Amino acid sequence: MRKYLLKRLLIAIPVLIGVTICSFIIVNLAPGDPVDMYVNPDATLDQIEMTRAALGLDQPMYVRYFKWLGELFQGNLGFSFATREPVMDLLADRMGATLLLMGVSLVVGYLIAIPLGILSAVKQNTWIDYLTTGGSFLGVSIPSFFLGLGLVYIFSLQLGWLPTGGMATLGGDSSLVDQIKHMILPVIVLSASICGNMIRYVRSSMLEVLKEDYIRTAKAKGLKSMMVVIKHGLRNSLIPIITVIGMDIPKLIGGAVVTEQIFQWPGLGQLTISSISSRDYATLMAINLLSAIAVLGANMLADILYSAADSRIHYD
Amino acid sequence: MAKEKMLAVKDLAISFNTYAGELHAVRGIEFDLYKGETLAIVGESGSGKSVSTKAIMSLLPKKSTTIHSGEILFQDQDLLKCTEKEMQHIRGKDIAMIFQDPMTSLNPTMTIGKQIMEPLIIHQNMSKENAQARALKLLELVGIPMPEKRIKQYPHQFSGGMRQRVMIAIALACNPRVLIADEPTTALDVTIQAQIIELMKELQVKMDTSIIFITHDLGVVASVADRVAVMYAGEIVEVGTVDEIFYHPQHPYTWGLLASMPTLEIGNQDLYAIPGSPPNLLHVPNGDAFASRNQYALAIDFEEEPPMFQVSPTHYAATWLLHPDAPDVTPPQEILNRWAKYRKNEVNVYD
Repeated sequence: MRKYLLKRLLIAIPVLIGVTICSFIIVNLAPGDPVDMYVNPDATLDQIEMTRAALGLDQPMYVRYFKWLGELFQGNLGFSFATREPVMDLLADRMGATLLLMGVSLVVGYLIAIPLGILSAVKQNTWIDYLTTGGSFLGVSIPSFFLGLGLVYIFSLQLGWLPTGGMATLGGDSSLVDQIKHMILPVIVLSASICGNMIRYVRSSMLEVLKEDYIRTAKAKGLKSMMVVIKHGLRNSLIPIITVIGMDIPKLIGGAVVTEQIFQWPGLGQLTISSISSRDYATLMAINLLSAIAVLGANMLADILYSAADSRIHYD
Repeated sequence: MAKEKMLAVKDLAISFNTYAGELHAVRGIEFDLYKGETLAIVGESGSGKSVSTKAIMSLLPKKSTTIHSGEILFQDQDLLKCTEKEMQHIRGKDIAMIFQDPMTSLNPTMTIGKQIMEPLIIHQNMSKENAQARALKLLELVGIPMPEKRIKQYPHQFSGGMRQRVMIAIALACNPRVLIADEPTTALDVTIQAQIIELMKELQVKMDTSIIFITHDLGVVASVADRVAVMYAGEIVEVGTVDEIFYHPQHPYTWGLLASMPTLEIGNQDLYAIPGSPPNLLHVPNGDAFASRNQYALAIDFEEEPPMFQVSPTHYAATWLLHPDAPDVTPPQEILNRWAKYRKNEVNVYD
């Protein structure tokens, strides 16, 4: 296992370098010159060239890439074009907000989805099942901007119960209650799709397992139906569930671009949008790299969880 | 033979609701199970053997199953009238079951030890330590070497035969009065089959359990059973002691089954096969279900179902050939020859 993980980590290095090459090329090929963003409209050609040199954009692409890579290995992600802050600080600022929002949304989503998925499988073809699968279908297919705006309209504008956006009331006491109030709507939007997706996986995986012979054996032992489902069913239906969790975790980092934008949540998703529109190459590269690391890390975590859930799976 | 009756099945009729219609899987069967005996139920696939025993355990899918009539009496209690909760107290404690495929019947994500301890903890309120000690004893009892090490292992670390031994250990954990073995050796190769059968016989003597042994292998029947019930198309067509069924069978279907059993001398000869195929139980035929495949069928076979005729106090068969007015028939020479061979060899692959 340890050897396997070490191997995976070593493979991850060239993968990450490949990812940075691709995203560096794509970011730089995007139309529009970042220098235009950072000079006065009346600037002279000299001033433009000076800004270009200051941003380091006067050199050929490959030179810039290797410089960037060299700095990266020294732990330096460069400076944001837009704010001149170190990108590292910028990310650290935003990361907390995103981790909080996405972490809560994932947990809420799973806490609802796993019991409902099990229930739906156990009560297959009853109204409970139809209601649950119908609800999960709705959760998966409703666009987050639509749901988000709808919720803001109802709960913020009409009823006035909850704030429209942000993480805390400006000038408020920034108490826990205030923060929770700010989180409710974005969490609902995000967990709707997470939950809808998860219910479908849990249900189908559970249905598959409930047909197995060892479930019959468990019943023949005289176990209560609940125990049969939880002790013998759930553990065996975890593999597909872990796969979905592995795919959801990168969202913790990548953030929910649309949802963060709607609710003005100061997270990485919002940072992504703003750095795209301000052609902030350095920040974009860092966000891409972070997402790639998150995907690889989550895959590895899923692999570890597989072997924890099922002893037949082990790596060497 | 005033033996204590453990289980009495009376007039049991079960059907399944399928998309194609109502399938009459079991059509009024009766049998008794006495203390310490092994009753073998034989019959081809789809004859209702498994369904009837699953009904005893109430393990049939509730939604699609209809139980039309019948009683299953166990300790003066009709199991068919028990609630799910009452059944949970009986399953695994008083009546236990071993299934056909040991490769899929154990939970792959739970250690063998935990799976054996489970019934002990729920039925006998044992502490974990006591249950573990008992599990170790059980593993030893079913002949698994190094139980201390094996108890912590998972099913995939066991071979098929070993897994069936574990299944037997689970089934016997609470000293059940009745053990239902649903084709326990079908998925195993012959040498392992023989070992498992030996083990079951040995444990039966030790624990004085009554066994219902479902199989379609007559060789197995000869080596394990005290009594045999032959099932065809959802009915018991003949029931008797092993000797009666093997040496004095009365029903033409039993004749056919025995004639189609391979022997060591058979060489390149073709095996006898009963012509035709069993009836579709969606549309149960009039009269005797076996009539259309029966070369001795009488006119009445196509009109009226034969009742059980008594041959001896322990031997009954449902064929009109036993009616006083029926013509005398002898099984064809081919079948008689084979019987002669069986008798001469006392054939039986296992002993």
